[in-house]
Amino acid sequence: MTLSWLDRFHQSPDEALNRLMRGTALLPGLERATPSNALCNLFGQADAEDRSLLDEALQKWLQNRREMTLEQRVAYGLPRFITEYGEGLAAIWRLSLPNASLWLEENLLSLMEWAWHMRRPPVWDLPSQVALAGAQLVTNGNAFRFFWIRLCRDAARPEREDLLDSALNGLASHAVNDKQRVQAILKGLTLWAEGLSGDEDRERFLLQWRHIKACFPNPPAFWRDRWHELLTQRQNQDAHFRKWLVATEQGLDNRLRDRNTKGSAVKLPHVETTIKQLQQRANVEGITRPLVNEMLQLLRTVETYAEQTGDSQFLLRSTCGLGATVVQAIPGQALEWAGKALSWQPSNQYAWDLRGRALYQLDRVDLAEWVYWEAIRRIPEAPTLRLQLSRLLRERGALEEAKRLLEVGLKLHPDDHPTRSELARLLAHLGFFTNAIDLLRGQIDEISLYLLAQMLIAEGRFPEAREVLAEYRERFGDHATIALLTRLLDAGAEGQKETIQHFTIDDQQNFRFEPRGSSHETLQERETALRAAGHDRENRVLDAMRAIGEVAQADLLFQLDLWPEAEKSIEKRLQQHDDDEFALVVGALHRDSFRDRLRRNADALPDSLAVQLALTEEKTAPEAWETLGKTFARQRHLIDFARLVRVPTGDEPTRTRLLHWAETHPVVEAPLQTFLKQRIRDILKFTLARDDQARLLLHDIIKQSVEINDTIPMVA
Amino acid sequence: MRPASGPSFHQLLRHLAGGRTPDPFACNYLIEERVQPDRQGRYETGYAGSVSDLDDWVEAHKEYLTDRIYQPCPETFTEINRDAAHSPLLDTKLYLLRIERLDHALAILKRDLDHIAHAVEVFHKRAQPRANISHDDLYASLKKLAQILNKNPFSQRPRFAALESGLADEMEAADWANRLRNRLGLAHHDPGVAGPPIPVALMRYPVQAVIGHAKTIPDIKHPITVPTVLDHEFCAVFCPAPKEALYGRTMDLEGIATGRGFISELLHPRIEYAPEHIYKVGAITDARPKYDLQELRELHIMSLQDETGRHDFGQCHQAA
Repeated sequence: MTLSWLDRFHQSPDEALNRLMRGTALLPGLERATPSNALCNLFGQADAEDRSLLDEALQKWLQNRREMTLEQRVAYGLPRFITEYGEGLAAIWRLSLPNASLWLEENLLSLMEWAWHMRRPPVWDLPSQVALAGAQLVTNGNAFRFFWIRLCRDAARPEREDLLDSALNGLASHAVNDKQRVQAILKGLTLWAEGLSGDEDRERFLLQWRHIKACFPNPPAFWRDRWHELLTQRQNQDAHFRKWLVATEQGLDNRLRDRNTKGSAVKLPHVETTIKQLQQRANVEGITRPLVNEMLQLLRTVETYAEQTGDSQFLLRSTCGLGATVVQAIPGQALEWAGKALSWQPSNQYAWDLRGRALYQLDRVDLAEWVYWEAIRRIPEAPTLRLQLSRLLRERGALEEAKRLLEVGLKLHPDDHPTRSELARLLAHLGFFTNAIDLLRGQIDEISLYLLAQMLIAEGRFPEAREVLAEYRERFGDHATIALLTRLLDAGAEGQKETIQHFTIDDQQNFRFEPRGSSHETLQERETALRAAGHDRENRVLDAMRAIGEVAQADLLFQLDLWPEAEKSIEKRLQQHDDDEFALVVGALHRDSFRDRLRRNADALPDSLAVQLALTEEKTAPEAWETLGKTFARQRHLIDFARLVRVPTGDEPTRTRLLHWAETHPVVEAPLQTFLKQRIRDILKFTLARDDQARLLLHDIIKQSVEINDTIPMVA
Repeated sequence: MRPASGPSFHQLLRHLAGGRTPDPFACNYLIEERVQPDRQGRYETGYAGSVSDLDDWVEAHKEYLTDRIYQPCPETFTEINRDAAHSPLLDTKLYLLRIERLDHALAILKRDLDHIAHAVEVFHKRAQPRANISHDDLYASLKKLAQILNKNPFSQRPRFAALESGLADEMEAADWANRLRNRLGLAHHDPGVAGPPIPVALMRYPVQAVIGHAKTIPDIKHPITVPTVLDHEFCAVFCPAPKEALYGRTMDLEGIATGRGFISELLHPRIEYAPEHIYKVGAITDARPKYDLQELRELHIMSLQDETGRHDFGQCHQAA
């Protein structure tokens, strides 16, 4: 009968393989074998022709399974789907099938994105299978380094810890000897450990650490020196795991007090000073080849430092700071630097802004818009990104959308002057001078005062304009731009007319996101090559970016009550990918029909905080809130906040708990957490929980919680 | 069991069992004595009743297993399978044995078998730790191994386990992995003639561990059962035991001519392995013995008949 299955396989490989993977093939002697074990038994010693047939059939099978819709997967049974797909992936690396291996390497990132929510505790976990297959097969270790780094960080969440081993192995895959392997693994462990939160994680850390020691037997002094290199880094000096290590590793405390570094740490220059000097020279000399070479030299140094220590702060500062300096002249170079920065810190606002600006300069304006949409979604705490997107929208004439974006931005960041003044300008352009004036009243920054004076002139309110001008002079002195305002004031009605024209017509005609630049001729060849490489990288994530951009725009259209267009956009996306979490969530936040759809499929996304929050409503039962709070214990504060926003009567224990969270600050805190705490404190203390700001913040939090990972092009 | 519904299923069984080389799956179904009518009815009405060929039946059986058996609480351990329940008087201090493959775990840990073997030997005080490794460090490796085994998606189903008694010689032999593979009828663990060895762990845990875990799942009424044909995938080297037998019986791949006697097998729900359950690690290096399946099964059935005095047992021609 084995012959019978093999006969079937020769006649119809796809069908026969499908039966085997589904566990419905008759394989005498192998009935209890798992699919991958059965394939190893049947093809481990097979001839090249049979292996080649299997290689092709397996790749096709995996691809076909990948194209099943969410509803089809749910109907098939997710545990079964996950088991079988995992076995398919395992067969690739266990049998070293060349074409399937290549396919997997090429699709590793998108496979992980697709599989991310396919988990059913305690035993079904497709992301871990993908990570394992990747770690076994990926040959170009460096190109995927940032993927492994990301997985190390993700593995800090207890429910994702199964990713850790593969992530560490992936990081160590380029090592040529045990010493390098140990270094890579320890660095990965440190990245993971940075995400551990409290004493309850101590045993988790010690288990991983002790296992590593068992795998690489070395004298205690060897480990003390390795930890000295890592724990003296700034970001690790107050880490929880430092104290756990010191408590369990004899002599480590003394070693850490010793400033003598036995490792080969890179000597850094004064990075901030060097960056400023290079920027000043750029202003004077322009962007020349020698200057760019010096910039590259600095970047090589800080990158080496980052690779050796895991500390990327100087690399980020350099790439983003220098990138902003050169972006108009050599956007291809800036784009590469943005990519590098994002690889190290996927939610760095400056890197996203740089990426958007570079794409704009490269005439990829659509893509630039999508980049900003994703940046806003991912980093709601950064008002600049929303401002930049509003400027892009304004340039292409989408004024209502730009206005709404700025209004939301101002609600979330009421102290952000640039957002306020940009909105004021836009309101003025639309003829709403009174509204613009109200917006600027009470602001005392330079731009706001200047704009206020201008708008008062446009309204013919000359005495008030003179008062504002006087205040401006007092605060900021008398200079050339004041002369213009003085002239307009003195011109009376003519000045008023001229000012109105400036805001309503000239401003729009001349409005540009930013000026376009041109590169020095000595840099053109390099720039051309960088642009080509940059386009290539961005094109690989183009579909993901477009999808996000369209859904995010639909979200805005819903807010503008342009719901037919918004619905159409969401529907179109779901027809192509019915498991697009972002589309499902955004749709559910606005329309009951999408919410019903999400509810039907919520079972397939049980560990998605975004989905669960999107489904909460005023009538959600208290028990359901408590269950959510336990399921997502590490994001309890978000559950509590959602509850207070949704439930009109409020709930005192929830409020108290949330306020306590908002008033507690760990030593090292992510910018998003700091922003959320500040806003939530304001909301709890000064306003009702259900007002506009709270609703908008919750909306942004839900969108931000959608886990989207494949929007960053990999830079080796 | 005589098929109770679906003439096509009945016909299929007769056809499969009635040939010169009776199909083992059909035979197993027909000679099974422990499946209650209500369970059989559910199986045939819901799944197998209308199948007309073997391929169809395999598909239907797989659907049944997915719906009813590969679940946190398999039907195997509920009231509907009470006739297969093992006596609640089973001594909880007895030990059960299982063989678990380690290919996957070693790939995840990126270690070789030697590392794990050393950890196991040190844990059971059969060796001292090597230089620069502590007991705690090795225990951590074992704990990780146990965690990985507990995440096996194929573990969420009834688990075959053997009673330790009768296997002392095999367990202590140098080639214990090959010998246990044969005695426990694990034909699917076959490296073939030229294939690489199969790394395995011998798991050893007390019945108490099973009973204790089962108490955490309210729907489990009978945590230890005798295997029936409905509790797992079709397997030619499985044979149901007569209802008079206290346990199931593994099919020795080397045949009964060795005179070694039966090994008792049971089913129990998934448990969480702990490091102390990992008794030994090694590798199956030998290809499985060559056997004639029909002869192996016939002699196995004859031995069951002798053991229980049920000389009418296992006549699948007649049962059809």
